[in-house]
Amino acid sequence: MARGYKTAGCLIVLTACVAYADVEPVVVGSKNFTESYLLAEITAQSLEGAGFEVVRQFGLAGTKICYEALRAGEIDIYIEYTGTIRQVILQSAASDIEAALEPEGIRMLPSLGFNNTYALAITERFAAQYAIEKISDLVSHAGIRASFSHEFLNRADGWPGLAHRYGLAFDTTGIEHGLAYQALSRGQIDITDAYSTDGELTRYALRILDDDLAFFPTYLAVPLVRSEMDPQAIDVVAQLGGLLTDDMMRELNAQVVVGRRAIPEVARDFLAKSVHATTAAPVRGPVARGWSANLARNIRRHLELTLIALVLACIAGIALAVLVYRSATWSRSVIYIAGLFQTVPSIALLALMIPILGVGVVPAITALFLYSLLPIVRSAVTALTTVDPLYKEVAMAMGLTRAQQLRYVLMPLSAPHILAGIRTAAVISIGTATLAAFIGAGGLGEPIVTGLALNDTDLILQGAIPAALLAIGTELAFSGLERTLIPAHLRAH
Amino acid sequence: MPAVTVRSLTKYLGDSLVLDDVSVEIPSGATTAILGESGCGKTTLLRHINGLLTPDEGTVEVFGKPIDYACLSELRLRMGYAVQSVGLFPHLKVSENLSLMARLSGWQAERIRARHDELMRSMQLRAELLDRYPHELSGGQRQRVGICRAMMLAPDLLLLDEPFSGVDSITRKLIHAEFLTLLKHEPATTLLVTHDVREAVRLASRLVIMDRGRIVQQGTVRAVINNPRTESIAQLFREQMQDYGNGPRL
Repeated sequence: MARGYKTAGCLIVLTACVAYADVEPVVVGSKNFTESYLLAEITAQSLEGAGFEVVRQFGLAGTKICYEALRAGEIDIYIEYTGTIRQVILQSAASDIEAALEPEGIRMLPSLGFNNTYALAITERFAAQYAIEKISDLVSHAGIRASFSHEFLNRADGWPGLAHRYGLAFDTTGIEHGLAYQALSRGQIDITDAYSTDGELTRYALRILDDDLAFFPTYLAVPLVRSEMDPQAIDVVAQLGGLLTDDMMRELNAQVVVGRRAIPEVARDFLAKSVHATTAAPVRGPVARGWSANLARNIRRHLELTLIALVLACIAGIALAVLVYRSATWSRSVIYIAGLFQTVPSIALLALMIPILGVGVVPAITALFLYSLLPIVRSAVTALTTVDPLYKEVAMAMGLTRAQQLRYVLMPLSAPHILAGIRTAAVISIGTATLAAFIGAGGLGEPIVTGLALNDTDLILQGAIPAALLAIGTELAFSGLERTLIPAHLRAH
Repeated sequence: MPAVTVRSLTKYLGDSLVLDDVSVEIPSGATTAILGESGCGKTTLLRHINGLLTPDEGTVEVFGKPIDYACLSELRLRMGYAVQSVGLFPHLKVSENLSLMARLSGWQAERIRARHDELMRSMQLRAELLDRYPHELSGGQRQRVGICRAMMLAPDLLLLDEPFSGVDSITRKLIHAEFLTLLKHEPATTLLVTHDVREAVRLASRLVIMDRGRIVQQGTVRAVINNPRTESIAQLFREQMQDYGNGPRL
């Protein structure tokens, strides 16, 4: 029993050591949307061009995760927006962001130049028809059909504040942001909110209205780096300052989402045309590799994550069950606590791991482990407690010691149910492991997350189909295992 | 020295008094039947003797020593145990059911095989049944295997709780005969719990008659039948012995 815990502990520590051992390369992070990928790739290639080794930790799920990863030293650098730093990270209107970040060991480098803020978008046709150029021109158009993203409708710095500042009074409806541009170009709605550097604006020939009363806060793109990062590397990133205008950024985004070009390629071309003309790095990184090599790597990583988590959960789960099954109170408590982990949404559980374990493989395995625990503990406890009391009594009366009763009677009789629990845990793990990509653990979630961010169905399928096949394969493998291990008349159906 | 000595044993299960100040001695080398209607406490008494239950009051001595509840396994290895529902482990084949304790006690494979053959032959079981799982046996076969398993380690004390009920009367008579032959070859102190007077009379030399948690009469079969202490005991014998062919083996 104690050995089970020790083994589990050692494995976790070991995995952690492997992850922490390589501190030398610069770890570049990104959030999971096109622009963030692009800027991270540009940063990475600049560093590589200057001779630094770079590890790409792209596609992290959101500001909190990125920032916590940076603070924890899991990544060394990522591109953030000044408005987001104030609103989400500092949660204050602090004028001096640099001073506020300094105690956290984080430096803000000069802005890349462009401002990716909220904007209102209309079609060129509509603009021409009603001679609308700036937001204050809207005041006289009461009948306008406005549809905004739900977030924009509810943020103080979104529609409520905007309507107040400009005195706008038209009715609004909510719309999913991804659908808004299509609806706009088909003439189903007249106006929606947009990000000023969205590549989609180019695709649908949309016009951004001038914010003439300067309502929207600025969202200047700025690199956040760890203060302790190699000063030379910091210099390289600082040189990216002022290189991009709003139009240039929109154009680069459009090359990816409209032109369907690979991000590393777009980044390389951009760098080639700008300061680093001579140092453009060879195209590499996850997005640029051949799909088969990627697939093999992702499947391998996916299986690693699932398998390690599952083995640990089996050891811990069965050990726990053996410890508690004789007490009804303890059995209930353990099942209840394991069940609690299951109720935490998986993405939240992954996010909660970051302050404790950082990003990458270790928190992903830990979260998968906690997720797999419930089905295994529950099936094991239930199986052990529901063994026919006749067999328990006979085993005792025959003179079997407690350990022998477990080994020769209770465990074999519980095996079908325990195996069914492990099978459930395995299938859940394979599904949940696709979310591990959000915290940079890789696996088949990586193409899914990237594909979602880039609106690239092919990429999504490169993750989704193998993940589904893996789940089916796991089911079949467990059926086979059941047939081999358990006599027909004892199988759980 | 008696094999088992029970002194002033009192046991509550929940709120109900199941054994009320029971004292009894089970002599070595003989078969004693504990006879009574269901609910009279006979099974509860038996379960105290191998430590499945602990007394609320009173003491149980086995083989001349009070039961050491800290090391029951050792004591139980000297006792065979068979119950009505048999309880053959469903995940083990017949041979594995029989050999489990022998294997754990360090018997060699050769010795185990020889013992299997010997017991199976005594109970009229074909050798090929050794390879079957319990659910592939008939009810009578299962009960015979149950007896074999209880006898496997040649126990000093055999505890049987209605091990022959639940099969038809013809099969039961056959098993009785086989069991008597087996005991003739391998005498063991036997304690048989039953509600069947004819079975008790057929297999046992001594009777302990229980009613509502108390012992109402004990003695040799002949003594009890000839001098029933109460009218209800007398009636028990009259009713159940009527159809017993040539009458009791007195």
